[in-house]
Amino acid sequence: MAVYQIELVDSINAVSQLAEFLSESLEKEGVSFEVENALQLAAEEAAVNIITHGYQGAPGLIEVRCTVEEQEVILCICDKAPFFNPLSLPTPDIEAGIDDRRIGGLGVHLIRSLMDEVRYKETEFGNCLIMHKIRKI
Amino acid sequence: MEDHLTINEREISGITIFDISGRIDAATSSQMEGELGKKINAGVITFILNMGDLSYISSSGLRVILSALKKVKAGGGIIALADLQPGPGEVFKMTGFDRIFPICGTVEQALEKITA
Repeated sequence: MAVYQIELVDSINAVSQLAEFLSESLEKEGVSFEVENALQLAAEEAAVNIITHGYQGAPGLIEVRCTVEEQEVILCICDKAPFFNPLSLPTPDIEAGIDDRRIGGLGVHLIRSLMDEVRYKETEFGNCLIMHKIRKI
Repeated sequence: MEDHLTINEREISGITIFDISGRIDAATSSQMEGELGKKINAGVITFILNMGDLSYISSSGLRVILSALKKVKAGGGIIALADLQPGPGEVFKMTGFDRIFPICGTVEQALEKITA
């Protein structure tokens, strides 16, 4: 088991920093490209939601912990924005045609679709989104 | 690891083709939005997005191309996608965007489809 952690404070570069952090950590642990890609996407969606909605564009801390185990990768993304559970948002209508499609709202749907398990927790630190992705052998 | 986006533009039979390389994510989607916006403002309503070298797209990217599609559709236009790679392809499928955009195997097939 290996644990990698990063603190993101610069919202403008957070997405790039997060992508690089995950790329380095996961490739070091030999995680498959498919699993890495899924985690990259889920992490970005979570971070963007925190920056845009949680911190409303203002600077804010995002703590990312990536635990690589033999069978799965666990990604925890935590922030200090006001308590809010993104999993409580309704799923966008993915059957809707172009005229009815709303712009946005897809981030949480992608996280749910890509990850094997997603949980939200209110902690002393703040909001925490915990995502599990099984490593296919 | 690539963390950038390159968009090369060309035209065939009056149709604008964007050859996209890299990632369309929260950091690069405004660049994509800018390129599409420039052409749409100049009156272009028919696009082929060549995704052969697109390695990654997130909801930020989807949002930008959906927004562009809504604008061109108002003028009777179309945005077709070509050579979508597996990773981004999965994202299109998961979000139902594969039903909103015509997706072709190659740029040539997309051209045929549009000009048919």
